[in-house]
Amino acid sequence: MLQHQHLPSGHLHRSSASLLPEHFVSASSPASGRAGSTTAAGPAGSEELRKQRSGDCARRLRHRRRPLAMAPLTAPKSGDALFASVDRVNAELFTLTYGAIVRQLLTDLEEVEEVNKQLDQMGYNIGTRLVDEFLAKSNVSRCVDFKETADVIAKLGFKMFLGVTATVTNWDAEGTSCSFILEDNPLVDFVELPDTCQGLQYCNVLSGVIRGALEMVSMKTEVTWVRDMLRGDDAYEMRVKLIKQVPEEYPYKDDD
Amino acid sequence: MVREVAESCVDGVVMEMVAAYCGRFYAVKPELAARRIEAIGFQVGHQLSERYTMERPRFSDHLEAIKFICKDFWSELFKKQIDNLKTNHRGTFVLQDNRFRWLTRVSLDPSAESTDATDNDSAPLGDTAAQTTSMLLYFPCGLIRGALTNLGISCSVSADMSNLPACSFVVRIKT
Repeated sequence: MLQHQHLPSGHLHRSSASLLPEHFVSASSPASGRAGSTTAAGPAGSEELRKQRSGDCARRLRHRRRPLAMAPLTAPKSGDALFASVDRVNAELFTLTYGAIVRQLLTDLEEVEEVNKQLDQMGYNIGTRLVDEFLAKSNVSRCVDFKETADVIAKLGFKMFLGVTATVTNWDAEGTSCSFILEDNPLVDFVELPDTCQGLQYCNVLSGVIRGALEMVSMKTEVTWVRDMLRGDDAYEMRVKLIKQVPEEYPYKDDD
Repeated sequence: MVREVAESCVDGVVMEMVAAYCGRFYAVKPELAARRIEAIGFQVGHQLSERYTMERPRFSDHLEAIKFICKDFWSELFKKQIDNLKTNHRGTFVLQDNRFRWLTRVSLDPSAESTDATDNDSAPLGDTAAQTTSMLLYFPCGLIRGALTNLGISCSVSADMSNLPACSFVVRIKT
Protein backbone atom coordinates (compact mmCIF):
# COMPACT_ATOMS: atom_id res chain seq x y z
CA MET A 1 0.00 0.00 0.00
CA LEU A 2 2.82 2.32 0.81
CA GLN A 3 4.99 2.44 -2.23
CA HIS A 4 2.38 2.04 -4.91
CA GLN A 5 0.58 5.28 -4.91
CA HIS A 6 3.53 7.62 -5.21
CA LEU A 7 5.67 6.01 -7.81
CA PRO A 8 5.61 6.12 -11.55
CA SER A 9 4.85 2.66 -12.76
CA GLY A 10 8.35 2.00 -13.99
CA HIS A 11 9.68 2.08 -10.49
CA LEU A 12 7.35 -0.42 -9.05
CA HIS A 13 9.55 -3.30 -9.85
CA ARG A 14 12.51 -1.76 -8.40
CA SER A 15 10.97 -0.97 -5.09
CA SER A 16 9.01 -4.12 -4.67
CA ALA A 17 11.93 -6.21 -5.79
CA SER A 18 14.38 -4.43 -3.59
CA LEU A 19 12.34 -4.20 -0.48
CA LEU A 20 11.30 -7.73 0.02
CA PRO A 21 14.30 -10.01 -0.28
CA GLU A 22 16.82 -7.96 1.61
CA HIS A 23 14.52 -7.18 4.41
CA PHE A 24 13.61 -10.66 5.02
CA VAL A 25 17.18 -11.72 5.02
CA SER A 26 18.07 -9.21 7.66
CA ALA A 27 14.85 -9.33 9.56
CA SER A 28 14.77 -13.06 9.93
CA SER A 29 18.33 -13.24 11.22
CA PRO A 30 18.80 -10.32 13.55
CA ALA A 31 21.71 -11.96 15.31
CA SER A 32 23.81 -12.20 12.19
CA GLY A 33 22.39 -9.02 10.69
CA ARG A 34 25.77 -7.39 10.39
CA ALA A 35 27.20 -9.92 8.00
CA GLY A 36 24.07 -11.49 6.58
CA SER A 37 22.19 -8.54 5.25
CA THR A 38 24.93 -7.22 3.04
CA THR A 39 24.86 -10.31 0.90
CA ALA A 40 21.58 -9.58 -0.75
CA ALA A 41 19.64 -12.61 -1.83
CA GLY A 42 19.95 -13.22 -5.53
CA PRO A 43 17.03 -13.85 -7.83
CA ALA A 44 17.05 -17.51 -6.87
CA GLY A 45 16.91 -16.76 -3.17
CA SER A 46 14.12 -14.26 -3.39
CA GLU A 47 11.58 -16.79 -4.59
CA GLU A 48 12.36 -19.00 -1.64
CA LEU A 49 12.16 -16.09 0.74
CA ARG A 50 8.84 -15.06 -0.59
CA LYS A 51 7.51 -18.51 0.22
CA GLN A 52 8.97 -18.37 3.68
CA ARG A 53 7.45 -15.03 4.24
CA SER A 54 3.92 -16.31 4.08
CA GLY A 55 4.87 -19.31 6.19
CA ASP A 56 6.25 -19.53 9.66
CA CYS A 57 8.92 -16.95 9.08
CA ALA A 58 6.55 -14.16 9.91
CA ARG A 59 5.55 -15.76 13.16
CA ARG A 60 9.11 -16.31 14.26
CA LEU A 61 9.89 -12.72 13.45
CA ARG A 62 7.20 -11.47 15.76
CA HIS A 63 8.39 -13.48 18.70
CA ARG A 64 11.87 -12.20 18.34
CA ARG A 65 10.72 -8.70 18.01
CA ARG A 66 9.09 -8.55 21.40
CA PRO A 67 12.12 -8.78 23.66
CA LEU A 68 13.95 -6.32 21.45
CA ALA A 69 11.17 -3.83 21.83
CA MET A 70 11.71 -3.86 25.58
CA ALA A 71 15.26 -2.65 25.21
CA PRO A 72 15.64 1.10 25.69
CA LEU A 73 15.61 2.81 22.32
CA THR A 74 18.39 5.14 23.21
CA ALA A 75 20.87 2.33 23.80
CA PRO A 76 23.90 3.74 22.03
CA LYS A 77 24.85 0.58 20.25
CA SER A 78 21.67 -0.07 18.37
CA GLY A 79 22.05 2.90 16.04
CA ASP A 80 25.64 1.99 15.26
CA ALA A 81 24.74 -1.63 14.71
CA LEU A 82 21.95 -0.58 12.40
CA PHE A 83 24.24 1.62 10.34
CA ALA A 84 26.80 -1.17 10.23
CA SER A 85 24.19 -3.58 8.92
CA VAL A 86 23.12 -1.64 5.83
CA ASP A 87 24.96 -1.37 2.52
CA ARG A 88 26.96 1.81 2.51
CA VAL A 89 28.68 3.97 -0.05
CA ASN A 90 31.25 6.69 -0.05
CA ALA A 91 29.50 9.82 1.26
CA GLU A 92 31.23 11.99 -1.36
CA LEU A 93 29.17 10.38 -4.08
CA PHE A 94 25.99 11.21 -2.20
CA THR A 95 26.97 14.74 -1.32
CA LEU A 96 28.23 15.65 -4.77
CA THR A 97 25.28 14.03 -6.49
CA TYR A 98 22.83 15.97 -4.38
CA GLY A 99 24.81 19.14 -4.96
CA ALA A 100 24.81 18.62 -8.71
CA ILE A 101 21.06 18.04 -8.66
CA VAL A 102 20.45 21.26 -6.76
CA ARG A 103 22.67 23.15 -9.19
CA GLN A 104 20.90 21.74 -12.19
CA LEU A 105 17.49 22.49 -10.68
CA LEU A 106 18.54 26.08 -10.06
CA THR A 107 19.54 26.41 -13.70
CA ASP A 108 16.42 24.77 -15.07
CA LEU A 109 13.73 26.12 -12.78
CA GLU A 110 15.17 29.61 -12.27
CA GLU A 111 12.90 30.40 -9.31
CA VAL A 112 14.54 29.55 -5.98
CA GLU A 113 11.13 28.99 -4.42
CA GLU A 114 10.30 26.41 -7.04
CA VAL A 115 13.59 24.62 -6.37
CA ASN A 116 12.75 24.49 -2.66
CA LYS A 117 9.40 22.97 -3.51
CA GLN A 118 10.89 20.35 -5.80
CA LEU A 119 13.56 19.37 -3.28
CA ASP A 120 10.87 18.93 -0.67
CA GLN A 121 8.81 16.82 -3.07
CA MET A 122 11.80 14.64 -3.90
CA GLY A 123 12.44 14.21 -0.19
CA TYR A 124 8.83 13.26 0.42
CA ASN A 125 8.94 10.57 -2.24
CA ILE A 126 12.23 9.23 -0.89
CA GLY A 127 10.84 9.25 2.64
CA THR A 128 7.83 7.16 1.70
CA ARG A 129 10.22 4.43 0.60
CA LEU A 130 12.90 4.79 3.25
CA VAL A 131 10.38 4.26 6.03
CA ASP A 132 9.72 0.76 4.72
CA GLU A 133 13.37 -0.04 4.70
CA PHE A 134 13.75 1.42 8.15
CA LEU A 135 10.89 -0.55 9.67
CA ALA A 136 12.02 -3.75 8.05
CA LYS A 137 15.62 -3.48 9.18
CA SER A 138 15.47 -1.76 12.52
CA ASN A 139 13.15 -4.11 14.42
CA VAL A 140 11.55 -1.25 16.27
CA SER A 141 8.03 -1.83 17.45
CA ARG A 142 5.12 0.59 17.48
CA CYS A 143 5.94 3.85 19.20
CA VAL A 144 3.60 4.80 22.04
CA ASP A 145 3.58 8.51 21.35
CA PHE A 146 5.05 11.23 19.17
CA LYS A 147 7.90 11.73 21.62
CA GLU A 148 9.05 8.20 21.15
CA THR A 149 8.67 8.53 17.39
CA ALA A 150 10.90 11.58 17.41
CA ASP A 151 13.52 9.76 19.46
CA VAL A 152 13.51 6.80 17.12
CA ILE A 153 13.99 9.06 14.12
CA ALA A 154 16.78 11.03 15.75
CA LYS A 155 18.73 8.11 17.16
CA LEU A 156 18.02 5.35 14.67
CA GLY A 157 16.57 6.87 11.51
CA PHE A 158 19.22 9.49 10.91
CA LYS A 159 21.90 7.06 11.99
CA MET A 160 20.80 4.27 9.71
CA PHE A 161 20.80 6.38 6.57
CA LEU A 162 23.21 9.25 7.11
CA GLY A 163 25.46 7.80 9.78
CA VAL A 164 24.84 10.71 12.14
CA THR A 165 22.42 11.22 15.00
CA ALA A 166 20.22 14.19 15.72
CA THR A 167 19.20 15.70 19.04
CA VAL A 168 15.54 16.19 19.88
CA THR A 169 14.74 19.30 21.91
CA ASN A 170 12.42 22.27 22.29
CA TRP A 171 9.25 20.31 22.91
CA ASP A 172 6.11 22.37 23.19
CA ALA A 173 3.72 21.84 26.10
CA GLU A 174 1.37 19.54 24.17
CA GLY A 175 4.17 17.29 23.01
CA THR A 176 3.22 17.73 19.37
CA SER A 177 6.12 19.73 18.03
CA CYS A 178 9.83 19.52 18.55
CA SER A 179 13.15 20.32 16.93
CA PHE A 180 15.72 18.01 15.46
CA ILE A 181 19.18 19.45 15.74
CA LEU A 182 21.91 18.23 13.47
CA GLU A 183 25.43 19.30 14.21
CA ASP A 184 26.98 17.12 11.58
CA ASN A 185 25.23 16.94 8.25
CA PRO A 186 26.81 14.93 5.43
CA LEU A 187 24.51 16.58 2.92
CA VAL A 188 26.38 19.87 3.08
CA ASP A 189 30.04 18.86 2.95
CA PHE A 190 31.71 21.07 0.30
CA VAL A 191 28.65 23.34 0.07
CA GLU A 192 28.65 27.11 0.15
CA LEU A 193 25.68 29.21 -0.88
CA PRO A 194 26.42 32.05 -3.28
CA ASP A 195 24.71 35.38 -2.69
CA THR A 196 22.32 34.75 -5.54
CA CYS A 197 20.65 31.79 -3.79
CA GLN A 198 20.07 33.14 -0.34
CA GLY A 199 16.47 31.98 -0.38
CA LEU A 200 17.47 28.41 -1.11
CA GLN A 201 16.57 25.80 1.48
CA TYR A 202 19.39 23.50 0.55
CA CYS A 203 18.45 20.75 2.99
CA ASN A 204 14.78 20.65 2.06
CA VAL A 205 15.20 17.09 0.92
CA LEU A 206 15.76 16.06 4.55
CA SER A 207 12.62 17.73 5.83
CA GLY A 208 10.74 16.16 2.94
CA VAL A 209 12.02 12.72 3.90
CA ILE A 210 10.80 13.15 7.47
CA ARG A 211 7.41 14.36 6.31
CA GLY A 212 7.04 11.53 3.79
CA ALA A 213 8.18 8.86 6.20
CA LEU A 214 5.87 10.00 8.98
CA GLU A 215 2.93 10.25 6.66
CA MET A 216 3.38 6.59 5.80
CA VAL A 217 3.02 5.71 9.47
CA SER A 218 -0.15 7.82 9.64
CA MET A 219 1.24 11.02 11.06
CA LYS A 220 0.62 14.20 9.13
CA THR A 221 3.36 16.65 9.92
CA GLU A 222 4.67 20.02 8.92
CA VAL A 223 8.45 20.31 8.76
CA THR A 224 10.31 23.59 8.49
CA TRP A 225 13.89 24.73 8.86
CA VAL A 226 14.61 27.06 11.75
CA ARG A 227 18.38 27.21 11.65
CA ASP A 228 20.70 26.52 8.76
CA MET A 229 24.48 26.57 8.95
CA LEU A 230 24.67 27.48 5.28
CA ARG A 231 23.01 30.74 6.24
CA GLY A 232 25.38 31.38 9.09
CA ASP A 233 23.55 29.71 12.00
CA ASP A 234 25.40 27.51 14.46
CA ALA A 235 23.53 24.27 13.73
CA TYR A 236 20.83 22.74 11.58
CA GLU A 237 17.47 22.86 13.28
CA MET A 238 14.38 21.32 11.79
CA ARG A 239 11.03 21.96 13.39
CA VAL A 240 8.56 19.08 13.18
CA LYS A 241 4.94 19.74 14.05
CA LEU A 242 2.40 16.94 14.29
CA ILE A 243 -0.77 18.11 12.57
CA LYS A 244 -2.91 15.07 13.02
CA GLN A 245 -2.69 11.38 13.52
CA VAL A 246 -4.72 9.45 11.00
CA PRO A 247 -6.21 6.42 12.72
CA GLU A 248 -5.13 3.19 11.16
CA GLU A 249 -7.46 0.62 9.72
CA TYR A 250 -6.75 -2.94 10.58
CA PRO A 251 -6.99 -5.52 7.92
CA TYR A 252 -3.74 -6.88 9.39
CA LYS A 253 -5.11 -10.40 9.55
CA ASP A 254 -1.85 -12.31 9.76
CA ASP A 255 -0.73 -10.29 12.73
CA ASP A 256 -3.24 -11.84 15.08
CA MET B 1 38.33 7.10 7.83
CA VAL B 2 36.20 7.59 4.74
CA ARG B 3 32.80 8.93 5.53
CA GLU B 4 29.90 6.76 4.45
CA VAL B 5 26.15 6.96 4.10
CA ALA B 6 23.58 4.26 3.41
CA GLU B 7 23.39 3.22 -0.20
CA SER B 8 19.65 3.87 -0.15
CA CYS B 9 20.40 7.59 0.14
CA VAL B 10 22.22 7.68 -3.19
CA ASP B 11 19.66 5.35 -4.77
CA GLY B 12 16.90 7.56 -3.48
CA VAL B 13 18.20 10.89 -4.76
CA VAL B 14 19.24 9.49 -8.13
CA MET B 15 15.89 7.80 -8.66
CA GLU B 16 13.94 10.84 -7.59
CA MET B 17 16.04 13.11 -9.75
CA VAL B 18 15.36 10.92 -12.77
CA ALA B 19 11.67 10.72 -11.87
CA ALA B 20 11.46 14.49 -11.45
CA TYR B 21 13.11 15.22 -14.79
CA CYS B 22 11.23 12.58 -16.74
CA GLY B 23 7.91 12.96 -15.02
CA ARG B 24 7.48 16.51 -13.84
CA PHE B 25 9.75 18.81 -15.84
CA TYR B 26 10.23 17.31 -19.27
CA ALA B 27 7.53 14.68 -19.46
CA VAL B 28 6.93 15.33 -23.14
CA LYS B 29 10.55 15.87 -24.10
CA PRO B 30 12.51 12.85 -22.92
CA GLU B 31 15.57 13.90 -24.91
CA LEU B 32 15.79 17.13 -22.91
CA ALA B 33 15.36 15.24 -19.65
CA ALA B 34 18.13 12.89 -20.74
CA ARG B 35 20.46 15.80 -21.40
CA ARG B 36 19.85 17.24 -17.94
CA ILE B 37 20.35 13.91 -16.21
CA GLU B 38 23.56 13.40 -18.13
CA ALA B 39 24.70 16.90 -17.17
CA ILE B 40 24.20 16.13 -13.48
CA GLY B 41 26.24 12.95 -13.86
CA PHE B 42 28.90 14.88 -15.74
CA GLN B 43 29.24 17.38 -12.93
CA VAL B 44 29.58 14.64 -10.32
CA GLY B 45 32.07 12.63 -12.39
CA HIS B 46 34.13 15.72 -13.03
CA GLN B 47 34.39 16.54 -9.34
CA LEU B 48 34.98 12.96 -8.22
CA SER B 49 37.80 12.29 -10.66
CA GLU B 50 39.45 15.51 -9.55
CA ARG B 51 39.41 14.20 -6.00
CA TYR B 52 40.47 10.68 -6.80
CA THR B 53 43.44 11.68 -8.95
CA MET B 54 44.86 14.26 -6.59
CA GLU B 55 47.91 12.23 -5.66
CA ARG B 56 48.58 10.50 -8.94
CA PRO B 57 51.02 11.24 -11.69
CA ARG B 58 49.55 12.33 -15.02
CA PHE B 59 48.23 9.51 -17.19
CA SER B 60 50.52 8.78 -20.10
CA ASP B 61 47.82 7.78 -22.60
CA HIS B 62 44.13 7.15 -23.08
CA LEU B 63 44.35 3.52 -22.08
CA GLU B 64 45.88 4.43 -18.73
CA ALA B 65 43.04 6.86 -18.04
CA ILE B 66 40.42 4.30 -19.03
CA LYS B 67 42.08 1.75 -16.77
CA PHE B 68 41.86 4.22 -13.94
CA ILE B 69 38.11 4.50 -14.56
CA CYS B 70 37.74 0.72 -14.64
CA LYS B 71 39.71 0.08 -11.48
CA ASP B 72 40.03 2.93 -9.01
CA PHE B 73 37.10 5.08 -9.97
CA TRP B 74 34.69 2.16 -10.20
CA SER B 75 35.92 0.70 -6.92
CA GLU B 76 35.35 3.98 -5.13
CA LEU B 77 31.80 4.16 -6.39
CA PHE B 78 30.68 0.56 -6.49
CA LYS B 79 33.23 -1.37 -4.40
CA LYS B 80 34.11 -3.49 -7.42
CA GLN B 81 35.99 -3.08 -10.67
CA ILE B 82 34.73 -3.15 -14.23
CA ASP B 83 34.65 -6.82 -15.20
CA ASN B 84 35.67 -6.60 -18.82
CA LEU B 85 37.39 -3.98 -20.94
CA LYS B 86 37.50 -4.21 -24.73
CA THR B 87 38.93 -1.80 -27.25
CA ASN B 88 39.34 -1.57 -31.01
CA HIS B 89 42.55 0.44 -30.52
CA ARG B 90 40.98 3.25 -32.49
CA GLY B 91 39.45 5.20 -29.68
CA THR B 92 36.47 3.04 -28.76
CA PHE B 93 36.38 1.26 -25.42
CA VAL B 94 33.69 -1.02 -24.05
CA LEU B 95 33.52 -1.25 -20.27
CA GLN B 96 31.36 -4.06 -19.03
CA ASP B 97 30.10 -4.45 -15.49
CA ASN B 98 28.52 -7.87 -15.09
CA ARG B 99 26.46 -6.81 -12.15
CA PHE B 100 25.96 -3.10 -12.28
CA ARG B 101 25.01 -2.01 -8.79
CA TRP B 102 22.38 0.51 -9.81
CA LEU B 103 20.58 -1.99 -12.00
CA THR B 104 20.64 -5.04 -9.75
CA ARG B 105 17.25 -4.13 -8.37
CA VAL B 106 15.68 -3.15 -11.64
CA SER B 107 13.74 -5.96 -13.16
CA LEU B 108 12.75 -6.19 -16.80
CA ASP B 109 12.14 -9.90 -16.57
CA PRO B 110 8.82 -10.66 -18.27
CA SER B 111 7.84 -13.29 -15.71
CA ALA B 112 8.35 -10.83 -12.88
CA GLU B 113 6.23 -8.34 -14.71
CA SER B 114 3.28 -10.63 -15.05
CA THR B 115 3.30 -11.38 -11.32
CA ASP B 116 3.49 -7.73 -10.50
CA ALA B 117 0.77 -6.79 -12.92
CA THR B 118 -1.82 -7.93 -10.43
CA ASP B 119 -0.74 -5.23 -8.01
CA ASN B 120 -0.96 -2.28 -10.30
CA ASP B 121 -3.13 -1.04 -13.06
CA SER B 122 -0.91 0.06 -15.94
CA ALA B 123 -0.90 -2.59 -18.63
CA PRO B 124 2.01 -1.91 -21.01
CA LEU B 125 4.52 -1.99 -18.23
CA GLY B 126 7.47 -3.48 -20.05
CA ASP B 127 7.84 -0.47 -22.23
CA THR B 128 7.82 2.15 -19.49
CA ALA B 129 10.10 0.06 -17.32
CA ALA B 130 12.64 -0.14 -20.14
CA GLN B 131 12.36 3.57 -20.72
CA THR B 132 12.84 4.40 -17.07
CA THR B 133 15.85 2.14 -16.91
CA SER B 134 17.47 3.78 -19.90
CA MET B 135 16.82 7.15 -18.27
CA LEU B 136 18.52 5.89 -15.11
CA LEU B 137 21.59 5.06 -17.19
CA TYR B 138 22.17 8.59 -18.43
CA PHE B 139 23.47 9.38 -14.99
CA PRO B 140 26.37 6.87 -14.94
CA CYS B 141 27.13 7.73 -18.59
CA GLY B 142 27.52 11.32 -17.50
CA LEU B 143 29.68 10.23 -14.57
CA ILE B 144 32.15 8.47 -16.88
CA ARG B 145 32.20 11.28 -19.41
CA GLY B 146 32.71 13.87 -16.67
CA ALA B 147 35.55 11.88 -15.14
CA LEU B 148 37.32 11.41 -18.48
CA THR B 149 36.79 15.00 -19.51
CA ASN B 150 38.44 16.09 -16.30
CA LEU B 151 41.42 13.94 -17.28
CA GLY B 152 41.64 15.79 -20.56
CA ILE B 153 39.87 13.26 -22.75
CA SER B 154 36.78 14.47 -24.55
CA CYS B 155 34.53 11.62 -25.49
CA SER B 156 30.96 10.44 -25.77
CA VAL B 157 29.55 7.66 -23.60
CA SER B 158 26.55 5.47 -24.21
CA ALA B 159 25.18 2.48 -22.34
CA ASP B 160 23.88 -0.88 -23.40
CA MET B 161 21.69 -2.85 -21.02
CA SER B 162 20.51 -5.63 -23.26
CA ASN B 163 21.33 -8.29 -20.69
CA LEU B 164 20.53 -7.07 -17.21
CA PRO B 165 21.95 -6.71 -14.65
CA ALA B 166 25.06 -6.62 -16.80
CA CYS B 167 25.66 -3.27 -18.37
CA SER B 168 28.19 -2.05 -20.93
CA PHE B 169 29.37 1.48 -21.31
CA VAL B 170 30.76 2.41 -24.70
CA VAL B 171 33.31 5.21 -24.63
CA ARG B 172 34.15 6.85 -27.94
CA ILE B 173 37.08 9.21 -27.73
CA LYS B 174 36.88 12.26 -29.93
CA THR B 175 39.97 12.93 -31.95
